[in-house]
Amino acid sequence: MSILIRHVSSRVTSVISIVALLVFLPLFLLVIQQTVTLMSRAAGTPANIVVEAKLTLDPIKTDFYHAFAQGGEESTDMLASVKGDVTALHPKVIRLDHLYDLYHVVSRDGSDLRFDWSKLDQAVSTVVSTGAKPVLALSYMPDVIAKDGVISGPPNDWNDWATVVQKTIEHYSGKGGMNIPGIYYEVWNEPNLTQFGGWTLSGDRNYLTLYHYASVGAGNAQNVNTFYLGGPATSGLFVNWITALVQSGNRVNFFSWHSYLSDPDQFALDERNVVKALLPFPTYTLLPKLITEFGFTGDKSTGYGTSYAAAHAAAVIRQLTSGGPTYLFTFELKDGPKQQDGSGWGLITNDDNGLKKKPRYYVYNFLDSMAGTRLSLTGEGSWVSAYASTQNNVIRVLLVNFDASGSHSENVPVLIRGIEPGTYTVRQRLLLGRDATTTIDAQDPSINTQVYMPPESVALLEITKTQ
Amino acid sequence: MYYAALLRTSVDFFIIEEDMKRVVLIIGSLLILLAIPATIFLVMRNQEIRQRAAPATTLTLTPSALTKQVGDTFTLEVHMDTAANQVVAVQVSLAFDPTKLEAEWIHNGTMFPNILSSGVVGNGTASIQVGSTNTITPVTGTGLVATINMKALAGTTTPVTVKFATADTYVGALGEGSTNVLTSSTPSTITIGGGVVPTPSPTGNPSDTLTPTLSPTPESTDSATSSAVTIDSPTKDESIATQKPTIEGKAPPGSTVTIAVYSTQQITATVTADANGNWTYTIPNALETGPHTVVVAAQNPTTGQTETATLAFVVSNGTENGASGSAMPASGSVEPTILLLALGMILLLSGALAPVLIRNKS
Repeated sequence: MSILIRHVSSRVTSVISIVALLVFLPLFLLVIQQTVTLMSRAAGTPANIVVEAKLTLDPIKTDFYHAFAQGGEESTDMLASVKGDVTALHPKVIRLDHLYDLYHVVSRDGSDLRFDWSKLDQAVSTVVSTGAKPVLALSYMPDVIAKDGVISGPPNDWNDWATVVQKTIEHYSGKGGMNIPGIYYEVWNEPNLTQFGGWTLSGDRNYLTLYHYASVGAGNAQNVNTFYLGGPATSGLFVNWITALVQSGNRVNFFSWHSYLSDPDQFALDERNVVKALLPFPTYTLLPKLITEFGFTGDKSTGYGTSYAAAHAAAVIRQLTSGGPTYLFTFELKDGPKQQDGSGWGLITNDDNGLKKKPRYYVYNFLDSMAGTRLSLTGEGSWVSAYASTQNNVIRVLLVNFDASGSHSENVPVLIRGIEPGTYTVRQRLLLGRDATTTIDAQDPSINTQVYMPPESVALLEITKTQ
Repeated sequence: MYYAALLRTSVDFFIIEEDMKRVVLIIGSLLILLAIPATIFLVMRNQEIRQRAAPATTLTLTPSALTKQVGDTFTLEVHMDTAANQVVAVQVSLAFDPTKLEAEWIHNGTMFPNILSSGVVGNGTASIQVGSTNTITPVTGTGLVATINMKALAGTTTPVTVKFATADTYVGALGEGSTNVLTSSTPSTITIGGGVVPTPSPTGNPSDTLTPTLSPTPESTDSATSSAVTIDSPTKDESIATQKPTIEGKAPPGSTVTIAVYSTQQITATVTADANGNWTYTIPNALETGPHTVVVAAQNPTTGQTETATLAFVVSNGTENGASGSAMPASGSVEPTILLLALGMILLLSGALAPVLIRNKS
């Protein structure tokens, strides 16, 4: 350094110092951030679960997460080849989008619009055959009516858009059509995103105009079963879009949004926020709320092929078991083609990758074991969340260890209080893992046990009195 | 001659017509001046009628007062009286001192089976959003909205309050638009014993102090079975028509009784019990209408312990239904004020126009 000072002018020294500072400052900040992350991770709270067996609460909902979405990966009836596996998921609703661009429904004959439902009918029929109701995302603008042929934008004539919506509803909900009651029609898909039009709440691409003419079309539909119209299907929860829809005065039967969030707690927070935003509109507060796509990231990720995605899904469902949305749609059922690297969102790989089921596929039916009446549970930690239920004298505790870093494991103490003294079997099942049963002689009105939770694991504890 | 007379008549006519115009102008101005306050008066009256007609939904935490020891767990209940409102959604947010109390859980009650978002407990907060099953069958009447389980963490010198966070507590009802139909809420006070040693008040003379903080005098150690200190008037949850109520009770003869009234501002005072153990205290400052809690404390000369008694009451401002009347504005002085103002304006205007009229006449 002294050599440098001696042989180089002070001006050069200053420049070198500034450059060094500029280089090292971000590195320094990065190190600090990493340190804080590590320290906060280390300072998390381990779970110490206490279940009150005599404190029963609301019924555990199991239907709401049997909801699935299929993206527009291929211009075919994608679910046909996995119909059996999809049926085994006991789906209540399945959402399809890209109705008008992938299935080539609308064409023009002079000034008249013509409709060919054959391709879309196949896809909808497959959905119905799995036992699910279709949820149809009215998207995107048919190219024959789109301004400049841009399918993510507005039409040349808004009345054509209203007609397209009317004919769609009459075809699928119509008593003279496919005659399916209870279909949810969602206006567009992620309208706020540039690739889907970059719609806003004002200007030329005003979502409220798009929605308005959809509601006009819905209002014109004749001889139809009960159906639901809603939106705004944004890529996240934007309460200003929700309240704008309310204040627009259009027909609104449900609200929808997508949630790609790594933090499961944020899903519950979103639910509170949307209810809070709707409190000043009492006639809308109780309308169904649909999270029509969810996952830990909206990007393709190899995590979707691992237990990470499974634990995330279970942790999100745990957050929403009480007071959650009407439906929580897992995105998506089946990978698109050419995703051999495992980064697809699907629960099942594509035909070109063997139609293999990924760990997340198994979560939904596993969680169904929790059906019953919710029991009061306290002591959830920073990584391990849990809920408890009782049904037919069996107490069940569902534990999820989800760590965003993917490395945390924990030995979780579980205390069940308020039971009758006696002999109990305690069965521990891990999703895609061990299944072990032990016997406990409970002298006191409580059972104390421990569950080892490996990283990204889901465990079910079943306590049954035998004597 | 004829033309001269005609001209004079015409001039007189124009003069009369000019005067008439002025008179009409003045009358018109007066009518406008009268109409303005009259319109204001009618609008205000309509608003009042509207407010009087709006049913008053209330939330109450029960029990209103509790005495617990450090480490105890206990349950508070959130009750609602919807009055005539057709309630579809409720957001309950409770706030309390996190150094003294911890919320373990909050669950919905039987009145609202539909959980809109699950109960959340945090550092000094607990909240839940609940609703009716649908908008066709909104909830009316009285019932249990939520139950909260709490744990006493530390002893207190003054009772801690579990109250509704008013900015975050909302009741939505059909037909009321975006109005929060919640008009009043009643908190709960928790006295936690086992943490603080009481200090007897050094003065035996009555004294009044008005303090904005919840710090000073009343001691509140364990005394769930206290019999040495009582509050005999008002009675529990009594609706009192006066804003300066007199509080009476019994304490050990000659003992210093510390009184704390928990309102928007806390009032604390000390009095001395007489030879028969009677004490009395009249609140010097007008209390706002609505719920209040009074806590009294005195040292038991036998045991040396400070014993307390707690009681909730409601200042009703003379209305029959107590707290629910508190949101209504007092209207008695508005009408004569407006009339006097209008009269004054008429007189002022008359004074200003009189010289002009006289000059024109002459």
